[in-house]
Amino acid sequence: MSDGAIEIFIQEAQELLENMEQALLSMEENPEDEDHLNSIFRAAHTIKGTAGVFSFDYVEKFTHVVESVLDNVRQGKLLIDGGLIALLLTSKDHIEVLVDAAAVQQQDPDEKILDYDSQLVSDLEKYLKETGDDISEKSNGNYVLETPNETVGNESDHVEKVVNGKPVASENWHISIRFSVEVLQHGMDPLSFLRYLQSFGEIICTTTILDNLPKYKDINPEHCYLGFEVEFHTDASKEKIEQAFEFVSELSTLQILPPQAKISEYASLIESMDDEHFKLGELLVASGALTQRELDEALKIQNDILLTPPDTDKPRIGEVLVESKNIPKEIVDAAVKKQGSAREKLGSSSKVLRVDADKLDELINQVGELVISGATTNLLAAKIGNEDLLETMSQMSRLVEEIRDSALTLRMVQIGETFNRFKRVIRDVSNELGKNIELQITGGDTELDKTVIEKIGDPLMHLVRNAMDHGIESKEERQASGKSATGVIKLNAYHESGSIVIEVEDDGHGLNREKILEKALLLELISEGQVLSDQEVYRLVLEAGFSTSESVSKLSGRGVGMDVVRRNIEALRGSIDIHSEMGVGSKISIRLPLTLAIIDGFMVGVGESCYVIPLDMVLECIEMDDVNTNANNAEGYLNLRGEVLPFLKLNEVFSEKKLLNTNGNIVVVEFAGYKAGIVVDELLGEFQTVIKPIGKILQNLRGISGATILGTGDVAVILDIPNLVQRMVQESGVGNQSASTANTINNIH
Amino acid sequence: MAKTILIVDDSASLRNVVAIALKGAGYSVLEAADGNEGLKKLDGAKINLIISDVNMPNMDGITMVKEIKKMSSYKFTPIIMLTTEAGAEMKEAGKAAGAKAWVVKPFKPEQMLDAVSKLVSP
Amino acid sequence: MISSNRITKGHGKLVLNDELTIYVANDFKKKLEKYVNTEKCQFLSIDMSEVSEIDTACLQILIQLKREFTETGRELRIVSHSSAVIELFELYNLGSFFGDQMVLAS
Repeated sequence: MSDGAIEIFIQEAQELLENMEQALLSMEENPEDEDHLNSIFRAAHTIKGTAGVFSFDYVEKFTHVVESVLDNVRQGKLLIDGGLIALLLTSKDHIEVLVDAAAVQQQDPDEKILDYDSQLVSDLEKYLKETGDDISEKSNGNYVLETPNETVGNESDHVEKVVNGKPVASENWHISIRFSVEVLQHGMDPLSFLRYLQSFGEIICTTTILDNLPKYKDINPEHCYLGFEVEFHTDASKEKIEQAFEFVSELSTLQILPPQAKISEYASLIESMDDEHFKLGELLVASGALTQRELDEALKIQNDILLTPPDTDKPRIGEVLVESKNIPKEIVDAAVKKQGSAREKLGSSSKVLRVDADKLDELINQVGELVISGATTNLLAAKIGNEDLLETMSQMSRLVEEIRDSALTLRMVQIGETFNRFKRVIRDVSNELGKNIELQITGGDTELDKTVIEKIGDPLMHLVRNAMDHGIESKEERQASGKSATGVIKLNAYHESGSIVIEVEDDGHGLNREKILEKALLLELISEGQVLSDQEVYRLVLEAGFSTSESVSKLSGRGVGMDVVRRNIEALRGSIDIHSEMGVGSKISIRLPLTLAIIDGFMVGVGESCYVIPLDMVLECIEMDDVNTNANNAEGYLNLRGEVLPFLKLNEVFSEKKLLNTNGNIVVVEFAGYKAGIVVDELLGEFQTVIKPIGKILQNLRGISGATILGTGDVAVILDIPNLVQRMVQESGVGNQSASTANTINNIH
Repeated sequence: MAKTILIVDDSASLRNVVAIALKGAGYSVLEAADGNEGLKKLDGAKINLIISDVNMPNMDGITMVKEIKKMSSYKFTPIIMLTTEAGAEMKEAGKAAGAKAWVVKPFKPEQMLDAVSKLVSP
Repeated sequence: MISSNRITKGHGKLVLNDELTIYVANDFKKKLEKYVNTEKCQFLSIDMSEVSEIDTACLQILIQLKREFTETGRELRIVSHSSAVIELFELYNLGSFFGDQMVLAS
């Protein structure tokens, strides 16, 4: 409970008590005044309710008695007189003391206060006895601290179950619910109850019962016609499940059968759902609640009612365990393991210093500044031309660069932790899929920028899930094709020429070239007869809406994913490669820049300013003259060796003056398969730079992704190429790409 | 988009505690101190669930519920009523007015969160 | 609720958007009534990619429409689902009832 809320409670209670006192004093003069009476009652009522929320039990208990007396006065059962007003005034003072003890000192009131408490209570109760309201009984019943009765309920359930009837094999609860037509009108949608069930268990299978849904023309759109049969797995008690439906308890028929319920219970369920009789039985079999044999038995029980004698089944293993109070071995194992890992953590943490990420960012920022002012000093030194000065300057520049590099490595985090998260995922999901899958991790100590690590988790999850779901075959299939029954998924990471490569590899059946082509034709990603290399074919699966899986699966088979993965990776300025071999497996490699803070840029001049284009998006540079161009007319395309490209002039976009002494150059850039030309005045060459985030004011400006400071102290703007390309494509209508790629671009912004 | 919940109760601290719990679970929360204010808050907003006390100054909870049930854009919105009176009378009146979900005061914030999530997920 | 609702040459094309809740359910049912038992529409494609919220009230209407299409040998396909639609279909386990591949519109 937050202290802030308690403070408000104290303040509020004080105000209410003050009001109460004022009102009581006014009533002394004018006992008939209902307004005053109401405000006294409300004060007691509110304090009681709120104290309960804060678990200030003494306050709540006492105020409850005061409230009851006041309620009787309000109902006219009790006449207010001087004596009662005096008692209420002292009660008010006492509430103040109790609030003080509970809320301010945060402790239980001492004995003296409690003695006084019971004295006041008995005085107040005298008034209540006049009205025949026996508060003492009521308060006992209502205000004993709640004891959870779940365990009690459970046990009696057990006993009954064992005595009466044979249990079914299912480990799941079976919930059968039919809603009355009006639930929707009360704002109670069945879907919210099902969602709520998911908060404390797993829905194994839902069957929506449509039997009561009338003909279209007869539907009352505000009525609910649906019913549900739910297979539900949870460790919670029956009460908890029942409570999920408490708000519709009067508006629905609910039946809950526990795991391993007696077959006879299922029989009566089937019986009670009379019209759906036969279907319900089938359904219980289909959803796994009953086996066919159990169903037959249930139907038999239903037929020869009461002929089956009480069963003398052996006690189930769960009960034996509980009775003998053996602690399961798994729990002991888990506990030992946990201790072990805690010790491991302790050992490694002594070498690690925790630093606030903001502080690191600040340091890197400052180093960036240092690089810049170093460059400025360099320029000045060159101007002066002093040999010695130049020598020390170059030495200093080298040091500054080293500092920058080591500062950047401070942001580096090992990828191992991200990889380790998948152990659990693989364990859980392989159980769910009924496959044996083993995870092998290598290169966990490879480091990359913490921002990249944060953003790589979701794409990796997609890839791993895809591999588990679609890549690895079922046990039977694997054995049939001579592989070991256990599939392997490998996660690997390593550094390679300024990038980091992350690989997700599986030894499943690989990508099916034919299937992909078939699907791509269907989606019109390629045209009939087009010849594609394997690489090109595999890359098709990265397109939006692409999924070759025939069946829709819960995990990954909706075609969601791969295009999202690609977009996420591209947003990190990375790329994806796919290798696959039929029957052997596939490997997806993600290549990412080591850091997001530094960019390899291509600097161009427009008017009197400099702009930076991320180098990896630059395809080529051409002089304006070389191109057979209609770039100067209004249509906005240029013709590059027969390819039609949209283009834009940076000086128009950013309102720069046009330099007169040059025809201009065109930088051809590519993003998400789209090519476009950017017309600039000058090409200034490659330029490695530290990205500075742009301020809030400029953040919404389109076409700019950041800024950097040049050695001269001037600011150069880093262009947001994806955004500019999108703009060009939209305006010119030139598109040589499939619709889905256009989609991709649109969705990035 | 986060679901929005309106809490109508004359106790600021109760509203505060409930609001903290609900916000922590990802709901947006609006507050009102009585029925009149509650109706005003509904106007022009999009509210997915209403929690209301019964006993309040100016306009009590039951009168407010009756008003809400007349509003075309809120008549199907779920309402949770709070009551300290375990009294069946109040509850019956409330149910007749159209509030089918009841939570008995005193409650713990997590109990309220639990009740809310049965009707609207964040 | 509905952004496009046309029948051309026997093909119905229905594009749903925003909120499909009980508040619009009456209207929703009325606007879709033209697809019921009509020879004019042999094939109905429904795009639900822009549906931000859907509840049981409106879902029921679609379920019954699907049933009546199937009963009369006509075809109703949901060609695109928003995440809200997919969530509800999964919760109610209606994927195979509708029989469409669930492609999340990205």
